[in-house]
Amino acid sequence: MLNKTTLTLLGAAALALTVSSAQAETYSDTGAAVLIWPKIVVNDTTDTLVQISNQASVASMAHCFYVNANSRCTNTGAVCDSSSECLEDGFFGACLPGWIEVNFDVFLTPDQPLAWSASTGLSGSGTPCPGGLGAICSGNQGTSVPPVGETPFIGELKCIQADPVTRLPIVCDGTPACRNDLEGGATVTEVDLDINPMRYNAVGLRTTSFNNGDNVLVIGGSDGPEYQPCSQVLVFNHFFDGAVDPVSGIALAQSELSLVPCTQDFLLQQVPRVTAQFLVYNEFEQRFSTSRLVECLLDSPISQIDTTQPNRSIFSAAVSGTVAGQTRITGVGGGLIGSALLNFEGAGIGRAGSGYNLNQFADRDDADFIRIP
Amino acid sequence: MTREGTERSDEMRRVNANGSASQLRLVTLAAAALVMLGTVASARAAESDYVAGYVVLPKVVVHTTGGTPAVLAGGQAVDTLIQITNTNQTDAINVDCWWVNANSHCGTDTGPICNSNADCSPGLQCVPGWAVLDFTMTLTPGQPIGFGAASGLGNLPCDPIFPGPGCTGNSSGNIRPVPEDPFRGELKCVQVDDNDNPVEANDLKVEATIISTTVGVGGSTTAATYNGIGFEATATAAGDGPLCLGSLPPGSPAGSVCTGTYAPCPNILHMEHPFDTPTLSTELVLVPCSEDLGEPSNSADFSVTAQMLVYNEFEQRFSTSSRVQCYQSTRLSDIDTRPGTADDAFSVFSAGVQGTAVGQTRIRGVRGPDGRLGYGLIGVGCSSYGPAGSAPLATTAFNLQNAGGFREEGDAVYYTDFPNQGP
Amino acid sequence: MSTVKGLRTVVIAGILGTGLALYAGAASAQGFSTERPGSILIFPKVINNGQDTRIQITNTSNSMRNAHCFYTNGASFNGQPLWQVTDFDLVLTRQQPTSWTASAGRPVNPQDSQTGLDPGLIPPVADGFTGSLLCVEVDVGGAPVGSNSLIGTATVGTIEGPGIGATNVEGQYNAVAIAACNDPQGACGASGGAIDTDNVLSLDNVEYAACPGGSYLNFVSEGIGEDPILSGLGNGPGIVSSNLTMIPCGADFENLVPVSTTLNGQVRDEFELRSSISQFDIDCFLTASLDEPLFGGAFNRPTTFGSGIITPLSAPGNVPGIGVVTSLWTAADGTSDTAITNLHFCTDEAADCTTVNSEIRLPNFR
Repeated sequence: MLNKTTLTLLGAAALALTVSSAQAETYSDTGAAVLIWPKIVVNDTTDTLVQISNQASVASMAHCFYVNANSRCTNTGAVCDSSSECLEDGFFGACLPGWIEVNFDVFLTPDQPLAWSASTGLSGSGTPCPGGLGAICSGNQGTSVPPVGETPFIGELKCIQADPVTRLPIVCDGTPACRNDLEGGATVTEVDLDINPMRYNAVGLRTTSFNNGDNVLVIGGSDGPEYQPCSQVLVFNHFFDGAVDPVSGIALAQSELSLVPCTQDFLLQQVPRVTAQFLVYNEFEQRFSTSRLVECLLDSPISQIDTTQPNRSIFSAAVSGTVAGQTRITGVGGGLIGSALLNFEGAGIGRAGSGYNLNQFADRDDADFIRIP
Repeated sequence: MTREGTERSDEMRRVNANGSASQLRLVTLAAAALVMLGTVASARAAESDYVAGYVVLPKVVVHTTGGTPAVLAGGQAVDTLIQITNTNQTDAINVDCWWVNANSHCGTDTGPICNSNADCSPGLQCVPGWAVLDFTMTLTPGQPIGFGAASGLGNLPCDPIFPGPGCTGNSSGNIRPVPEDPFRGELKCVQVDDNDNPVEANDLKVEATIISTTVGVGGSTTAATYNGIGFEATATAAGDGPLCLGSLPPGSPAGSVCTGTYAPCPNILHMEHPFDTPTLSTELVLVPCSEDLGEPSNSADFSVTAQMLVYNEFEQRFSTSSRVQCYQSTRLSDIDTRPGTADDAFSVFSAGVQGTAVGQTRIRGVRGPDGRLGYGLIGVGCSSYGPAGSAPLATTAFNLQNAGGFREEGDAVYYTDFPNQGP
Repeated sequence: MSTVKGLRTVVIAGILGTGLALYAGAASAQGFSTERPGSILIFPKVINNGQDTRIQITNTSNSMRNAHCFYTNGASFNGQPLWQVTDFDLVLTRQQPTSWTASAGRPVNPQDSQTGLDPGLIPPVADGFTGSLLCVEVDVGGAPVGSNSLIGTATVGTIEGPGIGATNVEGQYNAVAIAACNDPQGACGASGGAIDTDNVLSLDNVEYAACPGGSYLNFVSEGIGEDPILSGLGNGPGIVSSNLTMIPCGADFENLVPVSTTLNGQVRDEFELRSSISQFDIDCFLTASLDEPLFGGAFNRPTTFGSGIITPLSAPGNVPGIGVVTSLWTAADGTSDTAITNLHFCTDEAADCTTVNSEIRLPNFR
C-alpha cells in the first residue's frame, strides 16, 4: 500500500528543484498584513479548513473577503463547470465565470490561532473566546465568519489587518510601526473513498513603513507603496500531468494551479483581468510557452491550461517528455498570486496529494491595488 | 589658331587628364555607392519564394482519428506536414515558433470545438477563440526537418539524445503537437539568437502540405502544398518592443522600439482563381499581419476589414468586404452570403453570377484607427475539386500574389517577452 | 585608345563591375518572383498527357496589355530535344483575367461555351505534350514593354470523379514572373535601365532581372517505405514520390536553338548527411522523378526529409534552372493526389548562388 506520507513528501520535494536568488516580497512563511488564500474549495467531497493566526502579543483584527469565482449558467444562474450543465427548456446557456464578494471580520486575541471550515463558517458563539458568561476568554467578539455562499464553491479568501473601528488598514508612518501580525494556511481536504488533505500556506503581503489608512491598499510601485510588491515571476515546480511517480512506479501525477490577480477592486466590484504568461521548461531544458487570461481566478488542472485536450498539453508528460518541469508565470497587466496542489493517483492505490506554495522571483515595478469598501 | 583633327597639345592633355581625373573620381564615387547599395539588404514585401527571418504558415489544419471528436471510419482525416529548413550551410540557427490556435468553441473557450453554431448544443454559440503556444528549436547547419502538426516532433535529429552519423553540431528542441485535435490555425516562426532576440538573418525556408485521406478504404486522398510567407529581416535593435513588419504602426506607444524589423506586408493581395461551381470551390484563408502573441486577448479583440474587388473575364468589377478577426478561413461563396452551400448561387464568387470561369480578386486591408497593431493581411488559397457536400476528390493550395507593392503603414507582431530569468 | 584612357576605362569598368555584380546579387532578389507581377511569365510545367493544364493569366494594370506567348514542347526524339515552339498572342483589357486549358486552347468565338473576352486565338497543344509556356509582355507591334503587369497560375491534373480506380489529382503553382527593370528605382535596383525595343530580352539586371543563382527545395526522401502522414491518418502505409520539372533560365526562339545547361547541387538530410547531386543536363526541358539515376541517388536519403540546393555548374554558358516539384501522395487504398511546389529562389552567395545573366531571344518579325 502506498504510503501517503511518502507521497506527500514527494509532493513537497517537487518544490526543491530551483532556488530563486532574487528577492521577491510576498511571504508565505512569516507574518504579514495581508493574507491571500488563492484556493478555497467546497463541494460534495471537498472542504477547506482555513487557519489564521495572530503572531502579535496584542489583539488584531482581520477584515476578510471571500471571493466567489463560481461559473454560472447564463440562462439558469446555476453554478456550473461547463455549458453542458446549463440546459433549460431544451436550450443550453453559456457557463461564464462569475465574481461575487462577501466580507466579514475576524477578531483575534494575542497570539491566538483560529480555524474554521469554509463550508460551515464560524459563528460568534463558536469562537474560542466569545466572551460573556461562562466563556473562558474574550476577545473574539465581533467575529462572524459566514459559510461560503454556496456549494459547490471555488474562490479565494483575502484578509487585511485592519483597525477594528474603521475596518480600514491601520494608519502608520514608522511610528507607530506598521504591523505584520497575520499568518495563515489552508488545508483542502478531499473525502471520497479515502481522505486526502492538502495544505498550503496563505501568501502574505508585508507592510512598508507607511500606510495612510484609506481604502486603497497600494501594493508595490514607486508612488507611496503601503505593502511590499507582488512578485514579477511565480516559479512553479511541478510534475507534468500523467508522469509516472518515480517512487511507486504506478501512480500518475496530476497538478492543479490556482492563480488570482494581485489587484482587486472590491469597491466597484470590477472583475480583474490579468494575462498569465507561462514559460515551461522540461528536464531537457526544452522550452514551451503559453498564456491564459486570469479573470478573477484561474483554477485548473495544469494540463487544461493551454488546451481542452489534456493529452496534447505542454503540461502533460506525453508532450514534454519528462517527469518534472519548471513553469515561470508572469502576469501582464497586473501581478499574480498562486498556489498549487499535487495529487498522485493510481488504480488500487487511491489518491494522495499535497498543497504547496509557489516560489517567486523579482518584484513587480508597477503597483497593484486592492480597493475595499 | 584653331586645332583640327585629333591633334592634342600638352595643354589639352592636361585639361583632359584633369577632366578625366574628375570623371574618374565621380565614377569611383558612383561605383562606391553601388557597392554600398549592393551590400545593404534590399527591402521587399513579404514573399513566399525567398528564404526569410520570419515566416508565417497561415493555414494549418488537423483532424485525426485521435481527435475529440474523432474522425470515424469513412470520414476524412487531415493533417499538415510542415517542413522547415535552415538554409545556412555553415551556422546553426535558433528558431522560435508559435502555434496560433484559432479553434472556435461552444459557449466558452473550454467548450467543445465547433465550426458553426450548428455544431453546438441548442442555445450555445460557436465562439471564436485565439490562443498562442510557443516552442523553440535549434537547427544545425543546413538541417531540414519535417513533422506532422498532429504529432509534432519530440526530439530533433542531431539532438544529443538522438545523434546522427553526420551531425556536426547539436540540434535541440521539442516541437509540440498542435494543442487540440481538431485544430485550425497558423504557425509562425522567427529566427532568434541564444537569448530569444530576433536576429538580422534570413535562413528559414518553410512549407506546408495539407494532406487528407478517407479513413479506411474507398474514399479519396488529397494533397496541397504552399510555401510559408517569408518576411526578410532587415534590422534589429535592443529592447522589448515588437517585431515590426515595415515599421511601427502609426499608433504605437511613444518610445516603442522594433526589436526586429522585417519586410513590410503586401499592400494588396492578388488571387487568381476559378469562380465557385457545384464541383469546384475555393477557400480563402486570411490572417492579419499584426498580432499580439504575448497577450492573445488583444488580438482576439482586433479585426481588419478586408476590402475585395472581384473582376471577371469581361473586366466587370464587383466588390465585397469581410471582417478578419484573428483568423478567417472561408469558402469564397460564403464571403458575401450565408455560410453553407444554399446561397452559393447568389455569391459574386460564383461562376453563375459572374458568367465566366475564372476571375481575379484583389484584397486590401482597410486602415482603421491608429493603434499598436496595423491592418495588413496575408493569406493563402485552397481549391477543392469534387461535388459540394462530400469529401473533395483533389485539392490544391496556392500562395496569394502581391499586386500593390507594400504597405507604408507598418505592422507589428508583439510576442512574449520574458523578463530576465535570473541565474 | 591611349594607354591612359584605356587604363582609366579598365579601372572604371572594374569598379563599376564590382559594384554592379554586388548589387546584382542583392537587387535581383526582387526581380524573379512567383508573387509579384512581371513582364515575362514562365510556366515550367505544362502537360497534356492524360492530365491537363489550366493556365490563368491576369493583367493587373488598368491599361490594356498585350503578350506574346510561346509553348515549348520539351519532348525528345532519339535523345534529341524536339524543342518545338508554337507561339500566339494575347490581348488583355485592364484587370482582365483569362484562362484556357492546354488541351483545348481557346478560340476567338464569343458564341462558344468559354465565357469572357477571348484574349486571342490560343492553339491547343498536341496529345502527349510535355513542356513549358513563356509569355512576354509586348506592345501592339510586338516590341517588348516593361510595365510588369502580368501574373499567372497553372493547375495541372485531372478529375475523373468518384469511384474505385478513378484518378483525381490536381496541383497548382504560380508562374515565375520576371520583372522588367525600367529604371534605377525599379525591381533591379540601381543598375536598372529601360527596355530597348530589340528582340533580345537581356536578363542582366539592366533590362530585366537576372536569373537567381539557384533553387532550394525541400523533399520527402524517395523510397522511404512509409510516408510520414498518411499512416497516422488511418490510410497507410502511403507512398510519396516527387518529380522535378525544370527549364533553363533563358530561351532562343529566334534561332530555335534549345538552351542547354548543366546543373548540380547539394542535398542534406535531417542528420546533416550531405550528398552531391550528380551533374545533370537540361536540354530545353527536364522532367524526372527524384529517384532516377540521373540524380545519382541524392534524393534517396536514410531520413524522411531532406533539403537541397540546385545551382548551375560553374562554367561559361551555364544558366540556372527554373522549376517546380510535383509530389504524388498515394494512400494504401490507392487513392492519390499531387501537390506542386514553387521552388524557393536562392540568392545566397555563400551557397554558391551567384546570379547569372541570360537572355531570351524573340523571333524578329519586324
